[in-house]
Amino acid sequence: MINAALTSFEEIYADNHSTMFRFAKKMVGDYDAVADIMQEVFIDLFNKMNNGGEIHHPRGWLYRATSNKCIDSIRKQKRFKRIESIEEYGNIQESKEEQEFAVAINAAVLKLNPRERVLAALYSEGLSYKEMTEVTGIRFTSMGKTISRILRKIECECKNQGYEMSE
Amino acid sequence: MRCLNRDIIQSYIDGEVTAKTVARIENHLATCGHCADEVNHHRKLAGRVKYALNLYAESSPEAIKGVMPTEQSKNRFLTTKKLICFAVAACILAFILVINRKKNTEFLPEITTMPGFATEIDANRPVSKQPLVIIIIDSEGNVTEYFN
Repeated sequence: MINAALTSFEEIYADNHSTMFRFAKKMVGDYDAVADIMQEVFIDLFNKMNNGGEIHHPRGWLYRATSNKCIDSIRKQKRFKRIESIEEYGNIQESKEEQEFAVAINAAVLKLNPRERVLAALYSEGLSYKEMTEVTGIRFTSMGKTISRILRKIECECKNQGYEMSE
Repeated sequence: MRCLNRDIIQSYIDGEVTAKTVARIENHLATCGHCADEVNHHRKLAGRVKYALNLYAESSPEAIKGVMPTEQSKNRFLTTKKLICFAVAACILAFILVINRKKNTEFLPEITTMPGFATEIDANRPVSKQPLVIIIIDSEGNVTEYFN
């Protein structure tokens, strides 16, 4: 039984680690903090599976666990960490303007409140409204309204920094 | 049809509306330039935000290949600490059971005593000179009276 659980855990880990890392990075921004969050999430998953707990939808469970840990992490942060430079993102094949715009959008997302960040990150992951409802608990019927409001907030923040979305 | 609000536009560009609603929206968009511009703007906004968020998040690391334990620890479920706790709990339970059992086995007959005056009180005599009676009722209902 233990071997079956381990195999299953290994599969879930291999299939989802990159996705969850990317998802958490969108919300938290800081690489080291994300690495810590990932470690905690997968240890929790391992313990749950090892103790005989059943997880019917591992991906949904991981999205929920990761978003909760990220919200905790964001709340613990004493001060807001701004993205000051684009160099820290490594080698990205984009024009300078595109890169700067993308940095502005990422910075705008990091200015949202924790729950809005979760939703923005889930939205960018391409989840359906139904899946986002399961992870966040926001009502399905309010999802369009909530996402639209978050996108407008990001747009306003970018506009304040001199970036026009419609260009 | 009235002009579209932002919520409907968002749901429409995310493909979260029914086929019937899509048809109604598209009919409206064919005739309303303002709403068509709004939809284009929202689509562009959503696309840009998704793209920007994914652009920098892509630089995430490969999943680290960990070494998994091959067998479970034998003492995982029964640690020394747990054993001591179980033993203490069992002792307390046994002690309570023994005490209760002893109490139950003792025969304690129920006796009711009712002291009182045998006749009407004579107000001219002191209390010590009044005729007294003690009525004793035992557990079987027998009544015995004792006079002084």
